[in-house]
Amino acid sequence: MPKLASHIKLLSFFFTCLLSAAYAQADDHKHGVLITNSWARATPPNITTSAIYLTIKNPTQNNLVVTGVRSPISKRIELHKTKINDGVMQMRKIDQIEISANSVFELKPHGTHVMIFDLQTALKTGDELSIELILKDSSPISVQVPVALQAIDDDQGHKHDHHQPDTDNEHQLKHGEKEHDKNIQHEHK
Amino acid sequence: MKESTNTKITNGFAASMKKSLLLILCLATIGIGAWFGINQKQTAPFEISGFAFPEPSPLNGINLTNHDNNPLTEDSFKGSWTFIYVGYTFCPDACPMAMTVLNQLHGLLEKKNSNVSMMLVSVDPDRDTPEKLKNYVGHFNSSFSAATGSPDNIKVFANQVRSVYVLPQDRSDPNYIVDHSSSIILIDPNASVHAIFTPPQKASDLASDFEKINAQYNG
Repeated sequence: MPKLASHIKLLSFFFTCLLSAAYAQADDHKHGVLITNSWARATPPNITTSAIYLTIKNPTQNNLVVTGVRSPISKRIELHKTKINDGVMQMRKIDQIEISANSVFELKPHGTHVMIFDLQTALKTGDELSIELILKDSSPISVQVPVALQAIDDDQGHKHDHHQPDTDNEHQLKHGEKEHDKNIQHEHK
Repeated sequence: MKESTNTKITNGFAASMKKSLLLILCLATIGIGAWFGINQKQTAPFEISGFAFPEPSPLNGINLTNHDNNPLTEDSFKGSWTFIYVGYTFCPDACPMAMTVLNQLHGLLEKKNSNVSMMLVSVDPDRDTPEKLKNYVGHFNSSFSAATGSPDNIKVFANQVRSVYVLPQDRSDPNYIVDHSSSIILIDPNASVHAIFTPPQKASDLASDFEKINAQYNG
């Protein structure tokens, strides 16, 4: 198994190198997919559910499809979307999140998020979760997600009330937007 | 035999009636909300992010159990303002978000020494015991209270505060999700339903709305 794993790693490294080279050639994009503003909600005592929020920047020329999330913290982790239907808030499982080429997608409260079920231990502020975003056509992205009581915004460098209506999770990258990233948690090449 | 078929039909009819009633209730809630929203702009001297009832209706026949296992009736609300969130603790997204907003709101109003308390009412009594609720609200703020009750008594309360919720019929999977209107309700010191704030709620908006409502109430 370790041999297979190292082969897969080597193979994915090879392909990501190839992809990066392709992007570099296609246009000036040197960056790959970026994950920022990630946080997991700290859990009250005896509560076995939580949610993970993060922002996915896809500056590439290809659509990116996230099909799931895995983490040692729980065996049951799902992609969910909360929406208001006839005045009633409904949360439903979704199969995938698609981030268009050259776009940003926010997983945020009252919108699309990662739901963790069956937590065996409480998530405490200051803890960090290791998660992997599973991609449809590429190797997974590893992210270290801090546990917090409320939203962490890397761009602002402080916690704030990240509360907006969930109407549009996705927006096009503005020209030069990717240059402003600070405290990038992960860069996927 | 005939009787049991009848019962089945009646049950089926009752179920579909229940669904239609729920839909009507939802639409009525939105309708009432919209009407008051429009009406208020014409008559009330102020605008708020939610909507305040021109004639607040008094709570009555409330029979819930609070987080300390003590009875909670309409009298329990008399003498202070109470912001209530109607939700459940299993909910990972909307409910903790609303509790965080209530905590921020509490912080904003506390500075002005307002006579305000915050409460979570759970519509999921199968999973939310008073003990569990006590721990849950304590995580957000030690001064917060909580309550729940029998399914019938929760329905009575929810109807009076114009909250809609749908527990799944099949709750064999302990990880079931409850659809709910996720609104924050303001009960006045006369124990009447005074205002409703639908999501997304923002603490600073709720705080300024409360100041206006409180000023009008005392004025």
